[in-house]
Amino acid sequence: MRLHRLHIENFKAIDTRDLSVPDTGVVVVQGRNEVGKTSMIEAFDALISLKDSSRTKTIREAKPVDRDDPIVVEAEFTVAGERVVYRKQWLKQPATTLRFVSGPRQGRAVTGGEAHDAATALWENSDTTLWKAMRIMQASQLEAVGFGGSTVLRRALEAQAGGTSMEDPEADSLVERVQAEADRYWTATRSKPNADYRALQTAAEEAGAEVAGTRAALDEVATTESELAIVLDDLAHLDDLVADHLLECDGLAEQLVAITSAHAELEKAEQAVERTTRHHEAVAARHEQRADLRDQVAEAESQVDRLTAAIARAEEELAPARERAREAEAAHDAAQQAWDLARDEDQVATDDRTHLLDLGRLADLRITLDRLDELRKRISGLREAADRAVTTQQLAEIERAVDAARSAEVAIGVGSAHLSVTPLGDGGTLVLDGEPTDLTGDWQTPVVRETTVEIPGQWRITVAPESATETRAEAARSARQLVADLLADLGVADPEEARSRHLDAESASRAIADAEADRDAILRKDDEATLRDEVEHLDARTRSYGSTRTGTTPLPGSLAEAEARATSIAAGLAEARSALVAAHTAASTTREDLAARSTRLQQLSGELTNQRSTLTDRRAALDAARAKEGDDALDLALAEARHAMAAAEAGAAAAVDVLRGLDAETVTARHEYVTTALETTQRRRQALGEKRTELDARLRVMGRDQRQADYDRAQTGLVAAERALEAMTRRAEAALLLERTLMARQRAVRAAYVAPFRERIEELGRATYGDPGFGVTVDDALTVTERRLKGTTLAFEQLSTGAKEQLVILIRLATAMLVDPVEGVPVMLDDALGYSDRHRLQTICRALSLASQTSQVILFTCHTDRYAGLAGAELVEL
Amino acid sequence: MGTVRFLHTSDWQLGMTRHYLAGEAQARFTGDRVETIRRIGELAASTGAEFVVVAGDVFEHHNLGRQDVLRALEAMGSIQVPVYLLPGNHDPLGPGTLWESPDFVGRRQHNVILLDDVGPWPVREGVEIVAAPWRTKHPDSDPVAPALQGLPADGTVRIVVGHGMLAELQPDRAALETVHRGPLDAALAAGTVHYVALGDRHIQWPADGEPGHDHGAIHYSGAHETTGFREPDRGRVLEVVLADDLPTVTSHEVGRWLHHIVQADLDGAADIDALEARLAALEPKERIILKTRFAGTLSVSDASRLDALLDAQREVFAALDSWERHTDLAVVPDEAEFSALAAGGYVLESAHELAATAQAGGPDADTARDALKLLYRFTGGEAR
Repeated sequence: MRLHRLHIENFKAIDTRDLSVPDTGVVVVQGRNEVGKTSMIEAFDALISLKDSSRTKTIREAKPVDRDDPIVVEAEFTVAGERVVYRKQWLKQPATTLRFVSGPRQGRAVTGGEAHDAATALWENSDTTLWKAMRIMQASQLEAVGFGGSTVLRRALEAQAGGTSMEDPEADSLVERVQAEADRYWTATRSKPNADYRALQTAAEEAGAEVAGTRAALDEVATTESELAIVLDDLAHLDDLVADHLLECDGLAEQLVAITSAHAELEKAEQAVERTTRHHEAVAARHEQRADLRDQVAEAESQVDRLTAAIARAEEELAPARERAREAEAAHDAAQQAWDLARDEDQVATDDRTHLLDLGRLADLRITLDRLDELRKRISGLREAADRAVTTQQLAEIERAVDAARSAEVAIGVGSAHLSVTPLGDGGTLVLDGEPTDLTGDWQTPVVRETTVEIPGQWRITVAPESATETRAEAARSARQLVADLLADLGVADPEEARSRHLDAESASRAIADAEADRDAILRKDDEATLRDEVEHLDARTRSYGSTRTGTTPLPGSLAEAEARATSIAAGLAEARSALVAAHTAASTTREDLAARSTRLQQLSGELTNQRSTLTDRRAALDAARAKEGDDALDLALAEARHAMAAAEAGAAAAVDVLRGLDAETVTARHEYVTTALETTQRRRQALGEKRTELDARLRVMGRDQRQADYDRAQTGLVAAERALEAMTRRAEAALLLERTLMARQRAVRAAYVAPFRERIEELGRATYGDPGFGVTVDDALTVTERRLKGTTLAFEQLSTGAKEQLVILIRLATAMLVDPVEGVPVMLDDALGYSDRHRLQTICRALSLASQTSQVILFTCHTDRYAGLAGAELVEL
Repeated sequence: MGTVRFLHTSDWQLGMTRHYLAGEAQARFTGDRVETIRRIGELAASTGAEFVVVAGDVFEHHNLGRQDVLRALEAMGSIQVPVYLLPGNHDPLGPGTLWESPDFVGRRQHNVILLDDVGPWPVREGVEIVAAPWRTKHPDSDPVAPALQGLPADGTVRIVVGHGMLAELQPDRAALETVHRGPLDAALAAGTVHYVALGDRHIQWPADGEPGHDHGAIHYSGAHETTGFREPDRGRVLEVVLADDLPTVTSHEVGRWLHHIVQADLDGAADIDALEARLAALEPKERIILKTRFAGTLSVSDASRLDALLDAQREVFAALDSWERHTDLAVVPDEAEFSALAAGGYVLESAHELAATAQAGGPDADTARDALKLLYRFTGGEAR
């Protein structure tokens, strides 16, 4: 529908209004609020939809209340290839006319109901959906309206998509049926098999597990059979082994009989050896004994000779030893005497030195004690002075009292009136307080008592002090009295003496400390009483020394002399001691030598006596033995015994050889081994026999036929389950593939169909927002569901009001640009873009300009400047 | 030498389970294998055979249930002549053997003789069976040769009954249990034995028409009932007549079951018609185990029809499986098949895409083929 002209009378706020609209381009209808902009669109809608007889709410409310004029709406437009002028009048003299201005019915006109029906028919052939969708009314909801219902737009898009139709009910129904088929096997998302399909899969898995389980049970039978076969095999082998062992045992037993007999022979031979050996040993012992006796006699004779010679030698050496002993004893006595003498001298010298040391010590002690006495007296004197001391506190008290008295005195002078007398000329004599005075200059006195100035014979002037003066004088007296009392307490005449005594006391204290320090230094280790005791003791000892001293030498004159003498005598004493020790040693040695020689001689004599006795005994024993068995007979007996023993040993060796020839050791060992092996084998055989019995029993009770039947049944079940699953899998996969193929193709077709619509919106969006990445998502119903701007994608509902409004306008403009200009409808924006800022307004004007090149765009606004940026727009002021 | 006539059979493997047989088919299979023993008895009667030798693997394993053992013994007992059973690799002597089970020992009929010792067993005056039973599942040497030792050429007619694969038929060259031809030929040449009845091979050997099939002295009878797809025919037994000259051997079909591979090139509706006719001709369907092996190119509608045909037949045959490893069937929609779809519509594009995937032969080809068939069904094609 293309609108050319609109004429309205008496519709709401409109008295009379005409609007002409060019075929393309923007018309901006501008007027203040309530001037009737929205009413123009409502009036047009009323023209199209309401009969002239209508008394609907729209008409009733459209009528101006203050007038009784009819409502008239006339519009000239082109629709469905016809250009018409359509006019309706309501309320008063209702009328309808439809004139065909151009087109197939050019020049014809119809009226009344016929006109309304003809116009309705025209509209029914046009795209009313589009007509309604292309308007954005003031305060209308901003919704994502789908344009899928617009036949005009659909035709345009189908033309662009190469004639592909979106509408293919047959194909869609096929897809639905295929989906239903796929639903039989798959979940809704097609990601997993559904319950039925899964049940078959599970059944196949379970059948597989059943086969594995029953197979294992069956294998158990086979395993047991195998074990039994091995056991039987082993049993046969063991039987062979037992037979072999028994055979070998018999052979070995025969050999063992011969060996036993050889052993008996050997034993006899060994007994003979033992017997002859014992006899030989007895004879040999006797023979040896005889030789011993002979040796012992010879030995005793030799000892007697040796001792006799030794005694002779010892007796010869005894006399010189005695002489040496006597000489050593004499030397020792002489050394002893020299030593005693030297020791006495040393004692005297030591005593002398001690005595002289005592004298020196006594003198020192006496000096020390005198010094202590002197210090004691001095400290006593100082303490007396200290006792009379004036303390620092007392002195400060006196000083404070003196200061107070002085202040009181000053206060009397300062606080009292002053009497000044100044001579004029030579003045003459004045009597002041009764005392005549010759004043030569000024005289001044504070008036602290009643004072009289008398110019003798002429005047007596009496000046009385003020009353406070007496108070101050009293204070001064009290202060002075305090000073006097303090001084009296301390027994000093004046403060100066008090200060002097304070200083004296301090110096006395220091002197006492010094004196006490001296005393303490003297008595560092001992107390005084100890010192006095020592003096007493030393005095007594030194006094008595002269009477107790031994020796003839005179007492040394000095300690040094005594020391020298003592040292000299000590050296002599050491020498005498060395000589005494040497003499003592020599005497001991010679004495011991002599004693040893004497003892030796006695020993030798004793030994000789013993040896002689022994010799006698031994000779007797030898003679007795010979009388019993002569030496020659004994030698013969020994030779015979040795021979008998050799013969027995040869017999034993021969028996051993016989035994060795029988290889007794090997035969015995082999017999033992075979016997043991036989026992072991028989034990193993018995164990295996038991195992065989156990395996036999196990096989019998295994229920092997049931196991086989179970396995066969499970295997058959598995084949059936796998077959069923395979069949369903084939059907499921086929349905899935068919569904995917169909839907992919369907999506491709729809995408091709929607593409131009989306591209046109994106073209306008890029122009508006200056973002090359601007994009929208459009669904199959041609609804814009998402917008992508500056890399962010938002659903339509998530957009701000301003952004929604802008997008809605862009969608209308894109639609307008897509549809056939003849079949298109005007884009009408009523007070739109109220939410957009100035900048956005400018950019969206660009999109408006772009669209208006092929379409009609009508903008209603009350803001004079909202569309000021629209170049080439036609402005209609209301 | 007088005439000796007997039946040679083997590899009954009673108690065998085929896991691709579901439900009652397995029960029928098991029952029929016992029933066939009775028919062998009938054949013995009709041919005048003196006895029957079963050359090993009488039972599938030692774990047979009591019922199976007793039914087998019952069937054997129904045969009017002696039946000599040889333990084979499936049912050897030894630990756990079924031969010593109370069921077998206690219920064995008098005509049933277990050849449980190596060497000659007298059958009647001048006739002996030389048995070579298996004592273990895994013998470490020729299982037959030891039985031939020490036999004199004394005019006694001897029939060797053994089990194991001859070297020339043995796929495993290293197998220790291979039966060597040399000792057999030597014994035959020396006149100590006169016929060798072998078991282990489930297919008759030599086959009818092959050299030696009629007068050779060494034979495998094959199984009495089919056990797998390698066996192209129904089970047979051999009727053997030993007289003065060469043995005379005649095979008789006794089995009723068939493992059968249907192989076909399918390139259009006519081929499917032919296949349908072939399947219809197979009888008795309830005892035929089928495996299909197809190659060719089918339209979607033909492929759907093939599916429908096979689905229907699957219910009739004892079992019907496709042999995926040998199936190379392409599905290509023809121009008319999706005419119901709007030209230029995305459904048609989808169909082309799936067809391309199906033809490309990649991992998704089979799924794409199934998807095409599904699409075909949903767009008004034949019901599946």
